[in-house]
Amino acid sequence: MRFSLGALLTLSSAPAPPPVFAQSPSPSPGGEIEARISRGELGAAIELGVALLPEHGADPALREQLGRAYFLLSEAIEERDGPAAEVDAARRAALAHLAAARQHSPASPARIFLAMATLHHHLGEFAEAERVASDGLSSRPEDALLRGARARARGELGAWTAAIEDWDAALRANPSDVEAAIARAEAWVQLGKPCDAAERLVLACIAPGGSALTREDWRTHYNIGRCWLLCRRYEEAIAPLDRAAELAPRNGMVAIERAENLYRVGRIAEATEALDRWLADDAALERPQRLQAFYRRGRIAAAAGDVARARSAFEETLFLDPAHEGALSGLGALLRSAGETVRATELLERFRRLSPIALDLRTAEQAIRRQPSDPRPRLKRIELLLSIPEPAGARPELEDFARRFPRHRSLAELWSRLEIIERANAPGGPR
Amino acid sequence: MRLVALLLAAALAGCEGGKGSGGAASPIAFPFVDVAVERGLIFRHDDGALGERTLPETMGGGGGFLDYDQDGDLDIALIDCGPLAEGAARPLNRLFANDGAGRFTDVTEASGFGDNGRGMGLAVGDIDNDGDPDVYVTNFGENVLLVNRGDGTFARATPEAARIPTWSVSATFLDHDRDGALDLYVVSYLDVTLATHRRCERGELHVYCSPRDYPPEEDHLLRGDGRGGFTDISAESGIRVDPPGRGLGVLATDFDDDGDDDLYVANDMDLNFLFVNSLESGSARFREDAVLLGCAASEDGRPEAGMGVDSGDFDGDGDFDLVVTNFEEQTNSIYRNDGGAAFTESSYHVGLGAVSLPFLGFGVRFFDHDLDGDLDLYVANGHVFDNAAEMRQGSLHAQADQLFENRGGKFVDVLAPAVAAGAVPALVGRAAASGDIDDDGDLDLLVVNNGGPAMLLENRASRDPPRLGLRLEGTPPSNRDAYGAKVTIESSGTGGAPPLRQVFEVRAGSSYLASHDPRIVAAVPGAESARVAIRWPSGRTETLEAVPAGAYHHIVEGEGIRASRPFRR
Repeated sequence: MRFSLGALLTLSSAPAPPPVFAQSPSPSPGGEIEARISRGELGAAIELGVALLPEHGADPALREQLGRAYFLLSEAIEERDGPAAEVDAARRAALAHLAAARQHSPASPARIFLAMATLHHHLGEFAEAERVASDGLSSRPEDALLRGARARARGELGAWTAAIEDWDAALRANPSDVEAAIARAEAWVQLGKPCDAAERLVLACIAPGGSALTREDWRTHYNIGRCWLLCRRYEEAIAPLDRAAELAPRNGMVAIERAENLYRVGRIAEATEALDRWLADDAALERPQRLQAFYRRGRIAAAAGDVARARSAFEETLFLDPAHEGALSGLGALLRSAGETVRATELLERFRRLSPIALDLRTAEQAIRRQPSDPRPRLKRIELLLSIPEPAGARPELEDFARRFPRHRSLAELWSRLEIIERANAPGGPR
Repeated sequence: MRLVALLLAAALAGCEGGKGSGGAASPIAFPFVDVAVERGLIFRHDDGALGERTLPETMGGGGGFLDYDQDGDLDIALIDCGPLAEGAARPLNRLFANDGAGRFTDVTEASGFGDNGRGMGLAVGDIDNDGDPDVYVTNFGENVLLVNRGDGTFARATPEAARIPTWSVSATFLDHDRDGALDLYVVSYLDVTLATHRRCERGELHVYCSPRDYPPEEDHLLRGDGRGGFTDISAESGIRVDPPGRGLGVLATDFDDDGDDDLYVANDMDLNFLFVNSLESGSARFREDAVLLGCAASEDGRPEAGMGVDSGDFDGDGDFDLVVTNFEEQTNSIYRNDGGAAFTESSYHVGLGAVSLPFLGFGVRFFDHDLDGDLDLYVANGHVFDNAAEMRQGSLHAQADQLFENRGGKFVDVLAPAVAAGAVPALVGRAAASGDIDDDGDLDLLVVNNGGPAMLLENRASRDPPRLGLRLEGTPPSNRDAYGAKVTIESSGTGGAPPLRQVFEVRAGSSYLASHDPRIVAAVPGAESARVAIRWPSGRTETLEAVPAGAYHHIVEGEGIRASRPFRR
């Protein structure tokens, strides 16, 4: 996820990054740099570019090439879940070179502004992102990509009305831009107007005369459905979610949302079928979606009185997330009803211990989804899980954290705390 | 009044109806007609809002039924608030006397009922067993006990333990230790004062703060001595929980059918509490077990914004189920009692899922509105944010109430078509209480609206089906109100009506900031009489055979039917 656009896009697919370097910069003393970048040899390209700096430091093309190389490097590191500090360092370097390129070439191309705005955005510097995008737009007011960059920044700053104006302009320039239409809908949602968001998304994307591109894009229908849900028009959400599922049959988010809504409106058999089909089709999907799908399958089955299916689904959920409050309480209730009071009590007691921190856990989880490269919400979740007597779920989270942030200064202390607690909780341990 | 005009017009247009002798369910638009104004119940709740958005402003609006002058008909008490500032001129709480023909007269001054505290709700019970109802009023600030002198007037006689100078909301009388003297559970909400009030904003909007912005306040359990005195036994009784909950609603019911009162507290954004009473050797001890018993949280295991609470055997299996009203975007929760006080969250299963998501519920009442032998459900709705519509499209401050008819264990919102047509008024509902104001053998409703008029909803749904009414009076060692008595009514229908077994409890406190008519009204379809089995609070059991339908029966413990009075027509 490169952009975090709030409720809608967070739940839809990750938007593709704007083509910030769609065109290669003009030839420079570092023609070889371009070749190396093209071959994906980013380190070598940077090494060569830096070597040329003493002689050609004022060449905007060289600076732009270096900025581009660092930009791509930051993406590559992030892609392989590399350390967040390295990602940020590459972004800072890219920004420095792009700023230099801009300084040495007052008539910088739009892509420079776009790249800089994007980098500031990734670094959480939304005011700077907005300023750079505005600078670019001052001479190119019709540039849809710059409009989008500024709209995203304005959204992060909470200036949703201004963001909508930018998205409107971006959509006038490119009516087929599904992501812009969805992002504008998100801005309407953020303004507290989900019904308006749904209506505008319908008008922009699937009304007669609209683009076939947007009509056949599952994200269009998925987000129309989501807007109707937020507008509490659950029946209206059924058709767009059905259509999204037709267009993206293997998409877990769509399957889960559709099933949840079918359950909400009382169509339990269809909800179950939607989840089962998806889970059966793709057993190798990533953890968060499998977790959600199993949990919802459990809940729906429990409501339908299918105890065996509910139990199995809740067990799968807890295997993936031992601290899942819904699965703990759901399975606990099932087992209690089945007379398995010992395990039921164990699960429900665990639920009770987790409950005081559950809201904070969910808040941290949302923050992680919004800013996956930021270690702070992950640390918050681990701290929370370690704060209860039985830190269910802390170990997998800490292992994940260590993989992402191997040099983080808190790691040693967190491992030490976890081990002390685990020893105390081990059978025969000093409780 | 627009409201009255609307409802009457609809009723005259033939919109009323219901499941009745015709058999098939017909579309019901207006089973109730608001008769408040025409009957003289003129009351408009003053929320005291002055733009500061101090939370107590938006939480109040209490009321209930009682027969304060013991003349055999139901009178009405209404709890007002007004400006919160110390020393501000505030409206009095009001008492309206019923003249027996269903017309009400304001007797606040003559009765001494008026109090100008920053009122929230009330609890009604005969604390000194002298045969008349006393009233405990909860406030934002010190609470007040009004002891009925028996001559139509009240004396302020609040024992120190009952003052509770924090922010109290719902309260209920119960005899938790079965010593024959009523005890009192008082729910406290938040630890906030005018001095600690904060300004809260969402985006650019000035809003009421979230309850999470303030620490929770501890509830209180007071043991009554039967003479008007109370002792705070919160600490030793087991009702103290660490951390406390942000409580709003309370209910005393014998969920595990072991002959004593358990307590359920609906908490706002905290897990709800179920205090299971293990009464041994005359000394009660509560254990909080809502999580283990499955009634603490939503279906997703999340704490909800619990507001009001009621219990009743809606599924006819002989035990008491729970309903809790919650915030918008949360369902109202039905916890089905699986026996032995273990519950299953069943909101979607019983049809209360999606239909309750757009609404913010407060007052709630299980009652058989159409007298077909099962419990229906009334929910008083209204947002806490006066600027809800600015916060989110589709959210409304004033909301229509909902009436869910029980159709074979599934609830159907029978007011929805009328709401969609804009024919049901939208107000900011808080307390909802049931009572038979005209003694005609069906249950009417009192709804108190925050910052709005009180509604007196006369029940016009039923078409005179066979039913009977019971007023129970306990004798020592039971409390005189017989609160906590369990009543089983069995009727063997004739003419095709199936046999029916219904269970009830005698109590007045539940819902939100409300007190109900403690009499029991039960349908006995196709029957002329019913078998009535009573387990009194003392533990004594009595069975009365062939209790005739068509009347209220005054049953005294150990004595049987002392008097009967036919329903009015």
